Amino acid sequence: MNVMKVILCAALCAAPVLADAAHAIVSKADRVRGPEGSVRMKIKVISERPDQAQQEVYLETYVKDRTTSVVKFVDPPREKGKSMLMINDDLWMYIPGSKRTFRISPQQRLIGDVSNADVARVNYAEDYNSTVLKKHEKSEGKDCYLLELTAKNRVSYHKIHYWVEHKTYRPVKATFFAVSGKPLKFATYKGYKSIAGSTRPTVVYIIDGIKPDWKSEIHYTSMGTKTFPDSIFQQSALPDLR
Amino acid sequence: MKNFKMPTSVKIAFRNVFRNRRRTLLTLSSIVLGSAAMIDFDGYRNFADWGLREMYIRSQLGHIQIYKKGYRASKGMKPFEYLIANSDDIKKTVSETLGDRLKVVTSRLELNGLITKGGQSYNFMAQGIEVDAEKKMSALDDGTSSALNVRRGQGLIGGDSGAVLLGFELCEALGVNDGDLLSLMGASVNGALNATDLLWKGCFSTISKEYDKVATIMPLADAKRFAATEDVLKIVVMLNNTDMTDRARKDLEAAFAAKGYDLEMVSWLELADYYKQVMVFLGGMFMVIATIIVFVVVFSIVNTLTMSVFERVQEIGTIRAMGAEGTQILRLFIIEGIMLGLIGGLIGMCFGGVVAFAINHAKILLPPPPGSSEGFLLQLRLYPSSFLLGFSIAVLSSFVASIYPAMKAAKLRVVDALRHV
Amino acid sequence: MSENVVSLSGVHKSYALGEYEVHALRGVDLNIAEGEFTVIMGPSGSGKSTLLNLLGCIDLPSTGTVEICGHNTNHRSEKELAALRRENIGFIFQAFNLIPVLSVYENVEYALILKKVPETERAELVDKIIDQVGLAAHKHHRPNQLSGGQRQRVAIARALVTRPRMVLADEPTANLDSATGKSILALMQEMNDLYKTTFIFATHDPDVLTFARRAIRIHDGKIDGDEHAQPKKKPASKRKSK
Repeated sequence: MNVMKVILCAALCAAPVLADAAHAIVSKADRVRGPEGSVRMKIKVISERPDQAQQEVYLETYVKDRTTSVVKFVDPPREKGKSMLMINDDLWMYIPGSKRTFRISPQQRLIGDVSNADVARVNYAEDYNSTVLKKHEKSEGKDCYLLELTAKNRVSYHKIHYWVEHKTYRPVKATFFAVSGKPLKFATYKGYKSIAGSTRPTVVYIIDGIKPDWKSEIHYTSMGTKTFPDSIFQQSALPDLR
Repeated sequence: MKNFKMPTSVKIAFRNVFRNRRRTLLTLSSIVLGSAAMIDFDGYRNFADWGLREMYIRSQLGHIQIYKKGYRASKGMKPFEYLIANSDDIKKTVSETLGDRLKVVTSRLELNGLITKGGQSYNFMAQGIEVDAEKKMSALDDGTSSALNVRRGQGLIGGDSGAVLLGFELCEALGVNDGDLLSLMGASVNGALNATDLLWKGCFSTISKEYDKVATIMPLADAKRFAATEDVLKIVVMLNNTDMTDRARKDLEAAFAAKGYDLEMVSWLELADYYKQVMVFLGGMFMVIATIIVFVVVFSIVNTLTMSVFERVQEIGTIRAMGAEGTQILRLFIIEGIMLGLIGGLIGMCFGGVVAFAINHAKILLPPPPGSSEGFLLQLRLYPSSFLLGFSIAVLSSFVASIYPAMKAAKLRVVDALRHV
Repeated sequence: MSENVVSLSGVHKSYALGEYEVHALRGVDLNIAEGEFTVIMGPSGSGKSTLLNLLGCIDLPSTGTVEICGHNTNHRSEKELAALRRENIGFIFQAFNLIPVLSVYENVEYALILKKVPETERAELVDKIIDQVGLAAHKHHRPNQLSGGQRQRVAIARALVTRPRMVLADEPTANLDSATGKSILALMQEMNDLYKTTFIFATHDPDVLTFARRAIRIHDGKIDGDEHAQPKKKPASKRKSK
């Protein structure tokens, strides 16, 4: 009887510990992907579809912290002048041609299989509840944790399967699921090199969940800590963003 | 020689028809009224047909619409995949091919997205139009116009830029006032989000309230800027006369094939679902009225002829005794019936014509149909087929009506008939 | 011996009158030869009208044979009987039975039209007979413009224009005053002499007797008298139009 109590107690205590462990892993993986604090990133997003010409968008993202960021569209010319502001769950867009800012969905696509949230935010630890599905699974030749992330808020994908390398906590691969359980897209984190003070993945290769010949890429062409005035992280500031 | 070479049966029938003047007059009245009613209602139906059709054509459809090939099959689900690139070229070809059959040719672009004022956002479906051309399209022959029913504010005029008209329900939902700037956001042709601010100019209503909840009209140039394209979705051809449509379409198809355009065409009739439904409905009503009229006429003639037979029983007996066969008696009365129909039908045609003339000169103004702001002048449209219809009804009803009394007459027993006083 | 135009043998005729059965003729044997001027006399209900109907082929016996102009009427269709009548019989009625919408000329002509006599022949025949009955001046009048006597003359003309083998007259003088009646009978006798057409009258007018050469009495459906009269002097024919 006592044995049972001990086991039960252990199991009950283990759950939050296990959850904590998963959270810690995801947190560490977030920090591998990008530095803490105020960061400026230059991002190039590419979309490739067999029936279309290749599309490219060049962005600059100013991250205040893991919950607040501003994205500026730099290129091509027809996109230039647009900007986005993300605070927690909310995303506003400014489009030259209209004086007002429009509230849009973070899950709305930017181009290809890349959503607005994908380029505005990297904060899986705060945006998801995580659990370890498998402590050891081989992925891309590496020994990984397989974690299951479930959405905590509107910003997020419904569910993600996330492979994070043991010891280095480098994200290796992710599968993003829709509410129906169908995979929306598959991502692999590559291009690891030294940038912004650490070895980080500079390219994310994305393949569409239904059409394997639809491919997208996110290239982090530059990353560096930089401080910004708080005033730029407001809706009213978007039109004047330089 | 009064009845020169007229067959005897016809002669006898004719004289018998006028034997009882008053009775014949009454019967003829019902035939005349019946066939005149038929003719004039056909005139009304033709008028409704013309009016509805022309309203539709002038306010929306045009006579022929030109799309990129495949647009129809896509059911309009992906408009941006079927845009037409060289619209000026195409319009020139249209102009050259049709010459003075052409009234106006114009381009349209369709968009959708979100329209916002203050904190409120609603879906919109927009038409970008060339304002002057569309105005030319909507003018009617009799000086009235089937232009847009603008209920608040003003319509668009040529030269307007950065202005927008909203469907009435949409206007109400947004609570628009003079000077309001509306923000429109949607996808451009390459999928990128685009936005533009437009000044509210007026509110309009169409036949569909559902449509008015999302309907939007803006100048074509603004639509093109919003969609980030110089292409258009449709080219609409308006002819000077609806009857030219089929021929014009054939000519255009040939011209387009010769130039190798990757386009398809559709005529107004293929698009006018509402019109077709209304015409079917009117057709049904027409059948009902026709049936009633036939019944009344038949009843009247059966009555008359039966009385006529009854009065002539002894006469019939005499003729039979003289050696006439039953079929000859049958023929006699049927000819009498048909003669009533012929006379009634002829007078009916005249009467129907006179009544139509009177109505058309009374300048009766009908209330505006749904979606229009102006009424129509009631003008019954009588075609030769209308007259033929009235006449045929008279003759056929008479024929049918005469069968029963004629058969009764033919089946009389000679002995009994002779005894009859 | 002249050929019989009429030959009845064992003829019975009954018909229903409501619920009763009326035996109009109860065994009649009768022969009438060509050219006769015969009267059938009898009170009302004696069956003389019924007998005349059988003779006229407008009715058929219940039993027995009726032979008219050599044709047995039994088992004949309506069409065949009509043809028989057309070819062989002329009728004269008590009420004249002229067609009111036709003129004198047209009424007489009608009999020829039924016989499908061509138009060219018709005019001659009609004019001749109208002359003979003394109505040339009224050729184009309608019956309602004529006196009773004149109308009966028209009837006679109509009956004779087709040169039938026999003429049946049912009470021809009943609607005429005695003087007119006598002139009608005189006319018929003249025709009988002229054309040798058999005349058979049904009547209860005793004056008719003076003109007849044979009188058949019928009573209760049976013949109970058959007298041949003495040849008489022809009365002077007067062409009187009344």
